[in-house]
Amino acid sequence: MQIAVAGNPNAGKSTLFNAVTGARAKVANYPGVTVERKIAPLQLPSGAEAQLIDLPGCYSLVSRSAEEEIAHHVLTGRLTGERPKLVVCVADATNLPRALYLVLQLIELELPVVVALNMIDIAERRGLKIDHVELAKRLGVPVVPMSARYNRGLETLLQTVDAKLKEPPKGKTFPLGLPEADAIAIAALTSDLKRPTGDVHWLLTSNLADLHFAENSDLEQKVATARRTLDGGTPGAFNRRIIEARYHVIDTLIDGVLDTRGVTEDSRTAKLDKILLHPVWGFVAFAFAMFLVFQTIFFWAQPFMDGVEWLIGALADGLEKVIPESLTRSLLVNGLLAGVGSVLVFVPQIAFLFLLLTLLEESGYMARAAFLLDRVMRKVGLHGKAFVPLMSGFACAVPAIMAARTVESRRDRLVTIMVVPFMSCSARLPIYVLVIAAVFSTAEPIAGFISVGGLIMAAMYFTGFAAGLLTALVLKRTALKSPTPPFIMELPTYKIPSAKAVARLVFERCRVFVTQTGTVILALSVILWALLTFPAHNAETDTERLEHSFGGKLGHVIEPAIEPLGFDWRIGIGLVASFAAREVLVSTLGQVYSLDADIEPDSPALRDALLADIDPATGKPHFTPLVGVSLMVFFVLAMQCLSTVATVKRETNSWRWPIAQLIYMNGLAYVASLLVYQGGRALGF
Amino acid sequence: MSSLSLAAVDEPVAESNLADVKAGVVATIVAVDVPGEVGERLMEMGMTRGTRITVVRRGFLGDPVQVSLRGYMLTLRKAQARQIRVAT
Repeated sequence: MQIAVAGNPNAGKSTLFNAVTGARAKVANYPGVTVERKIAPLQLPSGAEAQLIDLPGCYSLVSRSAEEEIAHHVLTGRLTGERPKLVVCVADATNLPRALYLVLQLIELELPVVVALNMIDIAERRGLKIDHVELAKRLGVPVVPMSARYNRGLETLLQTVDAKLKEPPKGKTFPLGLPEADAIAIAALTSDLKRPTGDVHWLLTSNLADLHFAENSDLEQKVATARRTLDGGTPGAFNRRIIEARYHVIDTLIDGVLDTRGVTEDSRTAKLDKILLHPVWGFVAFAFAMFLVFQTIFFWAQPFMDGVEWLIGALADGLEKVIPESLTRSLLVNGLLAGVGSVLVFVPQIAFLFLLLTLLEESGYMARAAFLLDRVMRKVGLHGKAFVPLMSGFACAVPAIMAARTVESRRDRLVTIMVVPFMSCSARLPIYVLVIAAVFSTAEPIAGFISVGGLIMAAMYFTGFAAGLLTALVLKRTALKSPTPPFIMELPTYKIPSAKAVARLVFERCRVFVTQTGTVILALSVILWALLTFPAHNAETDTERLEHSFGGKLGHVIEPAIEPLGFDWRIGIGLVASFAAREVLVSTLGQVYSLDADIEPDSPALRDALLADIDPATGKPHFTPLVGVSLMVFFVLAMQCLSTVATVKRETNSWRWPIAQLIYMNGLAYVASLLVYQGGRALGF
Repeated sequence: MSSLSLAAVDEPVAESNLADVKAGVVATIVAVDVPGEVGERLMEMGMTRGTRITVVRRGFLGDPVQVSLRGYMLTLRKAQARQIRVAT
C-alpha cells in the first residue's frame, strides 16, 4: 500500500516525512530522470503497513517541469503501476490559499486526501486564525493542524490517515463552477476516457508535447479536439479559466475560515529583507556568504582532507611492510587503496559545502541570493539560483555539480553541470604553480610590482570562467535550447533550520556520494592503475615501469597529436596519468624525470629537471614559457578528473552527459592550446 | 480586510501595469496579459483577477520586482510585471 506525501516547496514536506518515518528513508532517482525520490516504510497506529512516498515539491500538477510531471505520474499510478491509496497534502498554514490550489487538484484526481495543516504554530504566532473544522467540512476531507518541526499533531495525523483509509473511496470531486459549456465538454471527455476528472483536467491543461502520446494517438486526437473546442481559438484560454475557477473556489472556501484581521507582518523577515535585498548591502551580505562557502571548502575542509590522506598513507605504509613487493601489493596499495582515498578525500568538502548550502536554502536565504543575481545570470540564460553551484566550482567540481540540484529546470541544471568543471578548481592550482615556478619565477615584475606569475594565474582563472559562460550561452541556444527560465519564485519567510533535518541531508549527500559515485571512481581508479602498471610491472624502477606501461606507451603514441601543442611524450604520460586527478601531473612528472613521486609542484629539483631537458633542434630547454602557457590553458579547459565524470554520471543518471562533456572539454582544450602554441610561435615567442 | 479579499468593483480606478506601481501601494489585478505558460504559472501562484497585490521592492536597477499577494511574497521580472494590468 502506497501513501504519497504532496505539498508546495517550503511547506515542510521533508520535515514531516522525516518526522513520521524516522531515518529509514531510501533515496533513489526516479527511473530515467534526475528527480530524487524518497521512500520509507510506515506503520500506522492500526498496525497497517504502508510505503510512504515523498513527491517532489510543486505548486500545481500541470506538467510544466520534471517535478510536476513526476508528481502527477506517481498520483495516477503511471510511474509505478500502482496508484497511492491516499495522499497526505502538506499545506503551509501561513500560506493557505496557495496550498489549497494543490489540495483542490488532488481532490480532482479522486484520491482520498488528508490535509496536514503544517506550521500552525507559526501561523498562530503571526495572528492568523484558521477554523480547520469548518475548512474540513467545506473541503470534504480531513484537515489536521500540526507542526512537523515540533512533533505536534503527528499522532492525530496518522490516526486520521488510518480512519480515512477505512472509508470507502468516494470518488466525488469538488465542483469548480466552470462555465456550462466547459463542464459539458469535460464531462463528455471524462466518461469517454473513463479517467478521474483531475486526470482529464491534466490532459487538457498540460503541455501537449510533454504528454508522451506516442503510444496512443487516439487519445491524443480526442484531447486535441476537446482542447480546441475549449480554447475557442485562443490557445491556453481554458487553462486560464480553470485556474481562475479554482481560485474562485478557494476564495469561497477561506471566506470566514481564514481570519487575517489580527495578522501582524512577519517583522523579522521584513527587517532582514531590508538589508539582505538592499541594492548595496544585499550584495555585501551575499559576498560574505560566498566567502564563507569558499572558506569552508578551501580551508575548513583541509585538515579533514589531510587527515584522510594521512590515514590512507599510513595504511599504505602498513601494507607495504606486511606484504612483500608484488603485483598484489601494487594492486592493493596503488590501485584499490589509492582509489578509496580519492573517494574519501572528497567527503569533507561535500559535507562542509552541503552543510552551508542546506543552511542557506532552509533558512530562506537562497531565494534572496537568486533575487540579487537574477540580472547577471539571465544574461547567460540561467536562473539566479545557478550562481552558487558555479561559484562552488572554483573549489571543487564534485560537490558543485551535486549542488546543481538547487536549479529546478532540468535543462538548466544540465547546463550548470556542463559549465561547472570549467571553473578553476583547487586541483588545477598545483599545475599553475608548477608551470609558473618553472618558467615565470624569474620574470621581472611588470611596472615594478605586478608579478608576472600572479597575472598569468589570474588570466587562467578568467579563461576558465569565460569558457564556462560561453558554453552556457551556446548550450542554451543549441543542445539544451530552452528559454531563460521565468523568475517566478516564492520568497519564503526566514526560518531557523532544524539541526536534525540539516544533519540528515548532509549525511545523505555524503552517503550517496560514497556508495554510488564512489564505486564508479574506484572502478575507474583501478583501470587507470592497470594502465600505468602493465605490462612492465616487473621493471626495476618506477620510472622504467611507468615508461613501459600501456599508459606510458600511450604517452608516446599520442606524441604526434600533442606535439603541435608543444607537448612531448613526457607530458603525454602526465596527461594520461592526470586523468585520475589533475594534480597527479606533478607526481607523474616527478617519476618521469626519475625524481621523487612526492615532489612539491614548486620544487627547484623539478624545475631544474624540466629546464635541463634540452631540445636538440634549438639547443634550448624544451619546456619554454610558451609550452608552459599552452599546458596551463590545456589544464584550464580539459576534463581530466574521473571523480567529476563519475559525479556527472550519477547526477544525470546516464553516461551520455559525462561522455559528451569529456569530448567537448578535451576537444576545446586541444584547439585552445593549439592556437596558443602555434599563435605564440608565429609571433616569435 | 487584508490582501486576501476581492476588490470592490465600484471603486474609482486608474489602470496601469504592475511595473509602474509604486512600492507600498495596494493594487488590484485586472488581467494577466503575460502570454503562454509563464502567464499561466503566475496565475497559478495566485495572480488572478481581483487579487490585491502590493509591490514591496525592486531589485538593483528596478528589476526583478518583489510583490506581496495572498499573504506571501513572490518575485517576478519587470518584463512580466509590465504585462500585468492593475487598478490602483
